[in-house]
Order: sequence, then structure tokens, then C-alpha cells
Amino acid sequence: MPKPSESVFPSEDTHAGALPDLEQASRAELQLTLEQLARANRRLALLYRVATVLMSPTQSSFSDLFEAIAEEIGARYFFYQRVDSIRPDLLILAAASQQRSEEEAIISNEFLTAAAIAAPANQSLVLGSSELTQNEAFARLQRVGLQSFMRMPLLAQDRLLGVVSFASVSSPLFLQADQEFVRTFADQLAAAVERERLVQQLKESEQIYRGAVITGRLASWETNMVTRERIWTKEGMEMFGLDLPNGRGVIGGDNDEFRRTLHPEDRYKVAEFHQTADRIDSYPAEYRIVRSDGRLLWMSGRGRVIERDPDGKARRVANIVVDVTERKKSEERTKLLIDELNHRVKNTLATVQAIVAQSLRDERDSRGAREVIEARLQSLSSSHNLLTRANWEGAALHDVVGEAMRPFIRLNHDGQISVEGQQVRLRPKVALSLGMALHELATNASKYGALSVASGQVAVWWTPATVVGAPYLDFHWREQGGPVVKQRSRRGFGSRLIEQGLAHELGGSAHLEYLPSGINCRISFPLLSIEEETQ
Amino acid sequence: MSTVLAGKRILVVEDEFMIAMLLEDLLAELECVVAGVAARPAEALELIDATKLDAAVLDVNLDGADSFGIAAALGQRQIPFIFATGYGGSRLTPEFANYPVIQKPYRLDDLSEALRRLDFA
Repeated sequence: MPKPSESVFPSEDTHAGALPDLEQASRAELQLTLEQLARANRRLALLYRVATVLMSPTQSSFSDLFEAIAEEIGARYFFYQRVDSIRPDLLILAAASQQRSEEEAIISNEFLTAAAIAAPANQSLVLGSSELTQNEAFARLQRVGLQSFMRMPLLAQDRLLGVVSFASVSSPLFLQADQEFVRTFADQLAAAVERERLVQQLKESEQIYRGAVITGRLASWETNMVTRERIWTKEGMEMFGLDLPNGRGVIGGDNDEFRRTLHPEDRYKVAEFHQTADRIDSYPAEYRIVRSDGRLLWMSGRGRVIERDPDGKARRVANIVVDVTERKKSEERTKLLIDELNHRVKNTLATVQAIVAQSLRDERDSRGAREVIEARLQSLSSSHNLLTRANWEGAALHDVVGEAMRPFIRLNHDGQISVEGQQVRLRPKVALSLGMALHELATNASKYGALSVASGQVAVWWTPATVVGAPYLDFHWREQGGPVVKQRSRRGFGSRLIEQGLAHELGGSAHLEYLPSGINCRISFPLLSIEEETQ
Repeated sequence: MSTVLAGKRILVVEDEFMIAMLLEDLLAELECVVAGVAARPAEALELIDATKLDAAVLDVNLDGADSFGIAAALGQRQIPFIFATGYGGSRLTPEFANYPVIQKPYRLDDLSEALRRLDFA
């Protein structure tokens, strides 16, 4: 390492000692020194121009630059080739010469051919007139009048990016100083090419990132605890419905845009996140936001500490969240469905409990009890099947009646049961209740009534009605031709179910008449609406 | 069976008639009097206004509607009540989270126990 006294500025005494030498120097030597100084100055200015042009090169400024360099070193022809480009047609970006005549055009052509053959290579190549003769590829150059040739590689960490070549028609050899000058120029050019490549790479990676951000509905921002501000990305602001100048937000206070956007019930989490960041490098975050347009979104993501102060407190945190609203909605739907299913199952179990309790009470022996329990559960089950087929949205009254009567239709007695009525769609609850009531009526008819003998008839029909302006349905069951009916002394499950339970549940009325000719039942209940339930 | 519950007038709020009938029978076994059966909130509120009641059994889900309005009306009149549900306790709003709950399907003992713990006026 040089001592300060040996630096560019000589010390007082060496300086004083040098003066007499200058005085003794011949005019010619002085002239030479001045010329060298002027040249160095010129070249320095030229390299500065190179730096300026390379900041934002245009085709013409780039060509002009090469011409100036060529002129400076006494070269007439120049060649520039890049080897890193993806597009082959861009390989030769600048290959021009100061062509002034047809003859020079031929020379130029020869030079380009030779230069192209010589390139690319990691080493520099400097050929004087004597060496050109010995080199087969370059011998032609000499024949057209070129005296010397110089090629310098453009290198970025030993990787070849391209070459620059110059040829002179006047000087027999490029001087050491010219070589060094061109070497400096080549290094500058290489740095610019490499920078351009890196910028391009960054742009591509940024494009990929942006694409992922937009496709994945990702939002990101940085939290700076020192400056107390947030730096939002465009996508982050879009997702949060924010419009901040320069994407800058404020941590804390009334203007804290993040805290304000959070769902009121989730705002307490902000302090939690900040505390967590002081302890953990990467932590999960999930919350709801309410955008200024009123939309509620579920966000899920992570915070990652990217800088801490010496005490370990988080200075900067990178945040990334993804919109998981759809997933959350689906989870909520699933939870709702499971809740609803649980509700139905428990109610069904309680219904089974009721059926069993009632059947055991009404029937005298266990065998009879088992039979009625089985039949009632069977009936409940077939009503469930009917509703399941329509996603538990409802059932057609014709189907409800059909299912209830099916076990009681006797072979070769097709005409025993008649069913008439317009299409009516029943809500699931109404379908289940009516199904159970019909099962009780049909069971009774097959044991004691019209369906217990071949001559008996059961007529089922219904008509729409209006009660105080509201749509109702009048439903009738009439038995005829069976054994003479006696008023039953004990009210069984069936009659209780119809007269009390069904009427109660449907919000209507139900009447059972034990006429001598057969049982008559009339059920009247409101429909939600004619439009909804009758078709 | 139970002297504490004998003759107590109980309101049954249940939208499914089979289950309502079951509750009627269970309450009869406990020597309670079923003062009324309501399937809808409006009916229940009418009965609360018009009938002398000692207590109520409320199904939480009444065909999609909830019975918390009925619970509030009972609370105002200081009529004790228990909830009946198939959901477990999870469906109760915080306001009623500490009220007694019996699960469907019912056990007579659970119903009896829950009713006996009520603060009858």
C-alpha cells in the first residue's frame, strides 16, 4: 500500500527537485508531454461521454460513440457483437463503419467477416501488420489495406457478454495506451450490458410476481415501526379498498388505515400482531376487513419480521395476505348444514321416542306394539325418502298420499282408494306431519274400517280455499262400505295426533267424524302462498 | 312422583307436534298441568298474556325462528323456563347461555331435574 507521500500529489521536496529537470527538457519533449496530457484529457472526456450515453443509449448516440472511439485510436472500422442476447437477430447491435466510398465498403465488409470469424472469445486479441500476414483469417484484411486489428471481450465475472473490435488502415499496431483505453471502454460497456440484463431479469421476475399476486388475490405491504408508516403495494391497496398517496399509510392514531379497515370485532388483533412481531419472526394472521364500499372480506396470511433493532424489537415487518372469503363462506355453509342436520336428527330421534312411547301405551301386548312401531317408523322413513329426493325442499301432496297409502293397497283391489286434487307442493314439515296423519288413518282403515273388507272404499281429495284472504287447503278423507263404525271409547294415538297435534302444528283445524258409514276426516290448513305451494 | 312439581302449570313451546305430544305425556307423568302448547312465537306470546303459568319448556328452534323473544317475555313476567334443544348449548345467545337446557331426545329424569331446579314464584 503506497504511503500518502507517494500519492498523485508529490511532496514539497520531490516537487522542488523536479523543477530543474523541466527547465532542462527540450522543446520537443515538452511538446510530447503536452500532447500526451491533451490526449489523456480527451480520452477521459470521451469515457465520461461513454458513461453518459450508456445511461440511456439510443441507436444513433451509440453509433456516434463508437465512431468517436475509433477516431480517437486512429481506427477506421469498428465491430460490436453481443452473445448473451436471446434473439439471434439482435446479436450484432452495432456493426458500422465510416464508409465513404465503394472501395471502403469492400474493406468494411472484409473487416466484418474477419471480425465475425474472430469473435467471440474471452481473450483480447491485438494484431499488428506483421501478425495479420501470418494469420489466415486476417490475411485478407491486409490485402484490402488494413494495417492492424484489436479485439476486446466484454466480460461480467468471466462470463463473455460480447466483443468490440477495431481496425486501422493507418497505424501498423495499436499502442499499449490505445489498448488500455479500449479495454476501459469495453469494461464500461460490459457493465452496462450486465446491468441491462439484470434489470430485464428483475422486470421479468416482477412480472411473474405481479401475475401471481393478481391471480392469487394476494395483498402485501410493509410495516415500518421506526417511521410509523406502512408502505402498500398497488394490489394491497386495491384489495383493502384504500387509496393512499404514494401508498403510504400511518401506524396508530385515528388515521391508521389498516386498523380502520379491519372489522370492528377484529381490531384488537392489530396490537396483538405488533406484540407477536417483537417475539416471533414469522406469525400467522387472520381477520375480516370491511372495505369502504361495504364489502366484507376474510383475509389470511403471515407477517414476517425483516429487521429488528438491537433490543430485538421489530423494526420492519413484511405482510402478505390472501383473500379467503370464498373458503370462509363455504366453511360457514358446511357448519350451517351440519347444525341443521344435527337439529333434524335430534328432532327425528325425539319423534321416534314419541312414537315408541305412544305405541307402548296404546297396545296391550308387546308383539302388537312392535308391529305398530315398525309401521310408524316405516311411514316416517318413507316421508324422509320423499323429501330427500327433492333436497328437503318440499314434496308433492300426491306423492305424500301415495307413499302413505302404499302399504295398504291390496292386491287385485286397485279401485279401493281414489285420490283427486290439483298439484300442491308442501313444505317439508307439512309433508312429514300429513304423512304421519295419513298413516294413522290408513292403518285404522285397514284394521277396522273401509280397507278391512273388499267392498270398502276410501276417497281422498282436496281443494284450495281462502280463509280471510289467505290461501288454505281443504283436505278430505272419507271411508265408505266398511263395517259399521262405533264411536271409539278410548282416544288412541291416531285421533290425538290428527285432532290435536296436526291441527296445532299446521296452524289449522282437523276434525274426525265416526259416522256409521265410515270415518270422515277433514283437515284445513294454511299454505304459505298459492303461488308457492299450488301449481 | 314429585310433590314440588305437582299441579304446576307448564307452557310447552314446540313446533313439532309429535315431540309436543311426548312432552305433554312426560309432564303428565310429573303431575304437571300442560297449560298450553304453542308451535309459533305469536301463539306462545298470546298464551303468556292470557294464561296463568308457573313455568315453560321452550324448543330453541321453531321451524327456523328462535324462541329467545318468548324467553324474554317470560323473563319480564318472572316466569322460569328451560330450553329444549337438539343443538347442545351452542345455539343459545350469550344472554341465555346460563339457562337450563334439556337435550332431545328427552329423558324423563332430565326434564324432572331441570324443572325442579327452577325458581317457582
